[in-house]
Amino acid sequence: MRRLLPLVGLLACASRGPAPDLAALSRVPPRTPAEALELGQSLQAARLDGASLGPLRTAAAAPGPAQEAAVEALLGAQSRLDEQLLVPAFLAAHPEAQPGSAELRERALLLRGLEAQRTGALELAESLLRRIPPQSNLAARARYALAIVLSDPRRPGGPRMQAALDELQAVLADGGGGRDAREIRALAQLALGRLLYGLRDDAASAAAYDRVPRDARVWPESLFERGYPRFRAGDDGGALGTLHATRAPQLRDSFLPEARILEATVLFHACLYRETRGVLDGLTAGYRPLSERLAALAERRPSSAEEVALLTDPGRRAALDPGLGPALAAEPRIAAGLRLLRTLEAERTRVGAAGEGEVLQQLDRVQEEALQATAQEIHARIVETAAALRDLLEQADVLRFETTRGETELLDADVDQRKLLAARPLPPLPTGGPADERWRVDGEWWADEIGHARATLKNGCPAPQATPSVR
Amino acid sequence: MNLLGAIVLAAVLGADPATDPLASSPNVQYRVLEPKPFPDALRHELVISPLVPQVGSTFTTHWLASLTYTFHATEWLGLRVQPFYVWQAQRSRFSSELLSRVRQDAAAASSVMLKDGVVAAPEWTPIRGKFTAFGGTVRYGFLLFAGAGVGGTEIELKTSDALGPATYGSTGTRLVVTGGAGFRMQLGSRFTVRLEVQDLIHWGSVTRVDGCDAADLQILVDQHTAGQVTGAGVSGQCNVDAFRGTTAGGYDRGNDLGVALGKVNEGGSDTLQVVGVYLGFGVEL
Repeated sequence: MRRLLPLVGLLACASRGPAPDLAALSRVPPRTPAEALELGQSLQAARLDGASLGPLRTAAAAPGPAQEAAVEALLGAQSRLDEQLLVPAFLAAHPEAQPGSAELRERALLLRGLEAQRTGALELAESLLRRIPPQSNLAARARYALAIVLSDPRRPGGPRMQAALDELQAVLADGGGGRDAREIRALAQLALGRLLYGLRDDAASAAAYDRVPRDARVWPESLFERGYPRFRAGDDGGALGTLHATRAPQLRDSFLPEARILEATVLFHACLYRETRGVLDGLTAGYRPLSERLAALAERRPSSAEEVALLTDPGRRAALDPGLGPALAAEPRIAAGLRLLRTLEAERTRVGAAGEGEVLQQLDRVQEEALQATAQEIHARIVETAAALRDLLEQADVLRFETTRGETELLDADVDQRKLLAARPLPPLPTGGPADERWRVDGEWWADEIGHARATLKNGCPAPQATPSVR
Repeated sequence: MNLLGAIVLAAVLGADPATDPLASSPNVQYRVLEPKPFPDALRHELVISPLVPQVGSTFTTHWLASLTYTFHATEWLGLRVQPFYVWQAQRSRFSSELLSRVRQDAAAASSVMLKDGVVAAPEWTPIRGKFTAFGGTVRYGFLLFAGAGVGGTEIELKTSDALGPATYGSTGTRLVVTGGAGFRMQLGSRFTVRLEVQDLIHWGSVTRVDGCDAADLQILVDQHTAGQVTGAGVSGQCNVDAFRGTTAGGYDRGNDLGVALGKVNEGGSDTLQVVGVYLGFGVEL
């Protein structure tokens, strides 16, 4: 009877959903890996890739003649679904499960390598990622991940920055098209900016940040981060200009509280204490309540369904910052988890009334695992964000204290800063070159202008040598 | 930034959610320095305006086509050379009514029409801006230009009637002065659309028709009356052939001689303007 399943599945494919016979034929749970493989293949033939993850993992976990085919079918489903939670975790836990074809072996290596990198097994990650040949379609993704591993300070033997830079340059030199290739190149460009900043090559770092494509997912991050090399290089106007862009309503789906700290730092460095305080007060007013809400969420550990609903239910999403919800939902692993959940829900709808049997049970099983894995990702990011926000608010407090101290020193020195600033002219705005358009900044936010602003600012320090050194 | 852009942007984006505490600070100021997505400097632009109507004419109506080549020396300044061809020039409706109803023709000097020509002018773009449309940003420039050139002219000798189409006589090449203003929009990385109003101004009286002055025409009229336009005794620049033979409709061109002589003898002068609306489509190379 079970030999008929793939045929039934194929027939089901031709119609809108699986035939009622599919449920009837799969009422009996698979007892052997071969039966699990057969059920998984039938589900795939019926375009139920999500549901097929359950029996295929069962079949792929057991050594035997069905294992190789099961791993291959599993990787096929992973590729079609762009699944990033369940299958990579399974492959990492079952290194003996190997596909037959070279192409799928490379995919398995990549998924294992990424999983090892994510879990901190950097040595294993490095060895797995290095085994992906440069001519592979997955080489760019692997080289980018390898660069991150090589630059990780936790790497056994220490980070190898130059090797990491070389890997990133190789990724950027790859001119492959497609959405994935563009995403990887944008990530590599951002990583290059970060590494060069770490190496204190500020000019190259700023230039690398500037090259992150404007349509990339990570562009808002690059926009604020490139303020760091500019500030350290003494380009306060450039740093303030790029930070100004992070207030643009077009970037409302980005979560960039750190931009305000850097902005306040630049202003503090110029002894513009009133402005520093204004920025810090805005940061605290905007993010302190969120920090408290996130801390409560991190501590309470809501159920998986609740955690996922934080991103999927508009009512619950309001508990997060307007930028945090979309930013979390766009995180690749979270986005993949949410996508899998939607797929499984759609498969459940398609199976509909046909499903009393094993199909629904498989769907339930996979859905529960996907829910848990997605919730774990969300929770991890909430914990991480809560900690980061707490740190930022502490930094804001420190900066506020330093601001008060600076103001006190001015009072002690009998300096009236308002008079001092009024007496000092605003340095002229940069004029740019002949190939630059100059636009006033008057409250309008033009998408094409974001990231091109520059600022000029007065120095409120009593004497240049009294400038606080915070760079 | 411009008003239209602000309206569109406000409609699209709604209120700004992020309050900027630095916006009101006298100690910090911002400016956008955006690399031009469509730089003009040292680039060549070709614009074709295939269908240019004359507006506001009294005695004549022109429909012309023009091809404008512009060398953009800088982002703000260019030099344009614009050949044009008048593919339809005729007596205006008002002038035709005058002639048919009260047998009153416009003065000869006021009836001269442009035939073709070429003008050159520096082009200045003092104002640039942009607006949002169709999900993108369109750059535009407001431009002014003024220059001069030469143009061939002609005058109607016979109106279009049952005997055939209208006939014309050349009134020579004249100085043409031009001036205009318009908007230029930049699309994509190299395409442009221009909407300009341009005035082509020319002067003068009708002293010759097809190169023949009053004396030549009198001789030819006499010859025509005698039965044959031989052309004997006229000046070398008089194009006698223009008054020989018949048109496709069978109209004897010799009949134009009397009208031509009348126009030449009429005297007087006028300043004539061909104000056209030029919608052009261009490419920048």
